[in-house]
Amino acid sequence: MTRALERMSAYTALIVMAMISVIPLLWIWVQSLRTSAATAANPFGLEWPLQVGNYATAWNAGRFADYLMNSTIVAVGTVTLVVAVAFPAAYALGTLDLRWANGMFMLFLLGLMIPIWSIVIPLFYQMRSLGLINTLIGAILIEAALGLPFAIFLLRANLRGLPRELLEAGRIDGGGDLRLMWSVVRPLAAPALGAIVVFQFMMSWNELIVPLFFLQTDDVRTLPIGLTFFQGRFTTDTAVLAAGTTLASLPVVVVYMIFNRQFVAGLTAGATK
Amino acid sequence: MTTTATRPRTPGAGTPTRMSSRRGGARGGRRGYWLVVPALTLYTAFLLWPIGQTAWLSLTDWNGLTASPTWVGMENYRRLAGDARFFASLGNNLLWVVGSWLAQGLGLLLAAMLSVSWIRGRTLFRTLFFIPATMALVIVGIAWDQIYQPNTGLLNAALDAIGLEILTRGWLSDSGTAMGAVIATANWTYYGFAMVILLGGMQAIDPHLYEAASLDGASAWQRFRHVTVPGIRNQITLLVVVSFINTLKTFDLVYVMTSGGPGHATEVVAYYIYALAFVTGRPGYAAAAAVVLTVIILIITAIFLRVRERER
Repeated sequence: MTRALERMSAYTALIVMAMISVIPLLWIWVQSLRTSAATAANPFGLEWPLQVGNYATAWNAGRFADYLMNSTIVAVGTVTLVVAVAFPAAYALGTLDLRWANGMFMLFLLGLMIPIWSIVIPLFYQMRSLGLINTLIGAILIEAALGLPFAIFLLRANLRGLPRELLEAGRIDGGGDLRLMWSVVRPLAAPALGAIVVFQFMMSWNELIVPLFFLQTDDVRTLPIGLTFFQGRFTTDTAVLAAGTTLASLPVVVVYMIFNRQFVAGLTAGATK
Repeated sequence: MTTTATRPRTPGAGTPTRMSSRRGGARGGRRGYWLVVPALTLYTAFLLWPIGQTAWLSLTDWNGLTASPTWVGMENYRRLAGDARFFASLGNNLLWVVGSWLAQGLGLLLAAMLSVSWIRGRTLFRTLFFIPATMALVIVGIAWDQIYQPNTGLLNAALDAIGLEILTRGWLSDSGTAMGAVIATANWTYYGFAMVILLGGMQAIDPHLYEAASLDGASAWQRFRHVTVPGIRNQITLLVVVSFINTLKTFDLVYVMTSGGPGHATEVVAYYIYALAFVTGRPGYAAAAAVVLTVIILIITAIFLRVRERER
């Protein structure tokens, strides 16, 4: 009896919490298929026919195609740059006997704790004088620098765990560092590299502060910052705003559902940040 | 799970690295420095150098326009020490920290329920709880802004429907509820995240420990208290500290949902820094606030690392 009661209350609690997790998003998605007036009259309803036109309005008025393109360039560029510079650095700091390896590693670790607020003020004026403001490459450089400490930290920890014999064997076979990194270390470090790719991609995809300061013209805005402008323009048209929110959120949920395991591993890897 | 593999370790402190104790050097030897150069260059140009600049700016009264800032020494810090708005924003950050603890408690409860052997649908629940954590905070902020709308929002409509219309209000425009509403939004994205981390820790606990405890006649609560909690102590410490630090840096939701308002009711330190630097045009003073924020974060991290070291 108590056993059944215990089970029932556990399931009830879990189901209620699961509903709290998904209903807010589902509600927004439903609003995107109605008119603003209908939502105002009854927040719970759903009328026929579905107002698919909201999506066309949001897509065009919201410049979503541009924003998506910019977001993709910045995220892919950041991930590529981070991996390209963090991997050799982590390899050198973790497996070679460099004299200043510990000191340099500590210097990078410092970056894990530095809030963006302690760099953004002078950086804004610097980037402006360098002509890198309102350029995607400028945002990529900053986001990559911010992501670097964590990538080096995670990769170095991983590479230090590799069996030394493997690296020695690779050396005896006459491989240089680059060759060794590519053909011996890279396959072994694949899970860590994967986690960094997912984590860094999501960080960049969701980043607000860097584009807020460094991508201020409409042609270079990324999705998050573009959405805030979109929100400002459609405050009264809740249906179009909901459509815009759905356009931005639904793909992420779909990707998450498909690549659940890698996604969770990547995002929780950043819990150390 | 991943967390155990990536747990922050005290960098080099105390323990000599394995490599340095090896005789001689690998053939890569000193020639490997060039592999670090690209990372170091990027890091120096876009992180270290600006940090130094911020520290220097904090000692000036620069307004962002004049060519050369005027040196004012510690004046900005002195003013900050008496700035009620700064301390009010810091207070909001601390309120946010308390909120994140509640979310962690909820995450612990959910993880405990999901780790019970007879629960079905563990993966499904886990997947659903984690969905909010995958969303950009900007999207979350816009969505919840709509949910909190006084006339068209889901929350007031739901309260109406269950006969609690007395509670309905403009959640974000009422200075009594705005901060709580933003913090609740933040934690909506966080309890599922905490749950996943904690559940990962629980699943790594040796099942024999539970069996032994049961044989000793331990109740479910006692098993939780004396086997589960000690088993996930690392994950708990990690969550508490990381969420503390992240909460001190928080910005996105406030920017999207309230812009620090009504009045300054929902202003957090990061938003105040932003407003000082780029809205009111006082980058020098903002830099001082940023330095203070950074120092606070470094102190908390140092304490955490010290505690961790001692536990070892």
